[in-house]
Amino acid sequence: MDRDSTIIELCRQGHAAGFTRLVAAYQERVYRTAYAFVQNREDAQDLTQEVFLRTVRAIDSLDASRPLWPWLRRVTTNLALTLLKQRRGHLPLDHLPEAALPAEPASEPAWTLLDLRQALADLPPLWRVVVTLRHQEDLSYEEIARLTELPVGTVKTYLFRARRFLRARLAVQEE
Amino acid sequence: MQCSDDLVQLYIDGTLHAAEAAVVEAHLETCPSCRRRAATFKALCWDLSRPVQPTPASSLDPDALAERLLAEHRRLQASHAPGRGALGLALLWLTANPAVVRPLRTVGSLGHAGAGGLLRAGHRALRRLLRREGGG
Repeated sequence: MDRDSTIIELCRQGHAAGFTRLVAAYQERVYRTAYAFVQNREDAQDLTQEVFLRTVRAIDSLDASRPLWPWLRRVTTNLALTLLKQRRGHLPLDHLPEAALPAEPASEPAWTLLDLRQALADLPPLWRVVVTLRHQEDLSYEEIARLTELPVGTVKTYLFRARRFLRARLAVQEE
Repeated sequence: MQCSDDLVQLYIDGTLHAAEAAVVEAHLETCPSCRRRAATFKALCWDLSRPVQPTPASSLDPDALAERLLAEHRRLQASHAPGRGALGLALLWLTANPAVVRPLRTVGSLGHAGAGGLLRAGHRALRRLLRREGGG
C-alpha cells in the first residue's frame, strides 16, 4: 500500500496514527495553498483546519486507490472561494479599479521574489486563485475551470490579466 | 501575425498547436517588442512556479490538529452506531406492544416456579445485551 492509501485505511479504522500521518503529510501544503489564496494567516489556518475536518467526515467515501492531494486541493479551493466571496465587502473579486492599473512598463521589468510576493497580494482574489492553481499546482486551464467552476475563457482572461498586471507593476517598482 | 499579448502568453504556456506555435515563433524572430514581452512572461512564469513559503508561517500545532481529527472521527462513529437511546426506545416499544406484553402475562399465570426459570433466563440475556452496549 502506498502512503495515501495507508493513511486513509488507518483513519477509517480510527487509529490515531492515521490522523497524525495525515496532518504530517499535508498540513503545510494545505496551509501554503490556502495562504496563497487568502493572503492572511488566521484565515489560512482556519481553512486548513476545516479542510482536514471535512476530509475526516468524508473519509469513508474517499477512493483509497487515488492520491489524496487532488481531494485536499479541491476542498481548499472551494472553501477559499466561499470565504473570499463572503469577505469581499465592496471590493470586486475579479477586476481592479482603473486607478490601480499601472501603466505599461517603459523599461525591461526586473524584480525580486519579495516584490513578486507583494504584487501577488495586490491582485484581485480570483485572479490570484487562478495564478496559484496554474503556477503552483501546474494545472491546465481546463482543470482550473473545473475546480473553480469558471468558464475556461474566464480562467484564461484572469490569468493573462494577472500576468500583465504583475509585469507592469514590477516594472513600475523598478523605475 | 499582429503583435498579440494573449498569443504570446498562450505560447509561453505551451498550449498552442504546433502550427500556431510556429507562427508565433516566426513573429518573435522579427519583432523585438514581442520578443522582450515573451522573455518577461517566461521569467515571470518561472518565478511564479517557485515554491513560496508563506510569511507568517502557520502556528497550528500538528499534534493538536491530529487529536481534533481523531475526536471528530470518534464523534462521527458514535453518532452512526446504535446507542443507548436506541436501546431505550426499543424497550419502550416492547413494553407498550400488546403482542409482547400478552404472552408475558400468560407466563406470569404459570405461577411463581414456572415463570421464575423463564424470567431468570430472560434476565441473563438482558444483562448480556446491556454489557455489549456498555462495551461498544
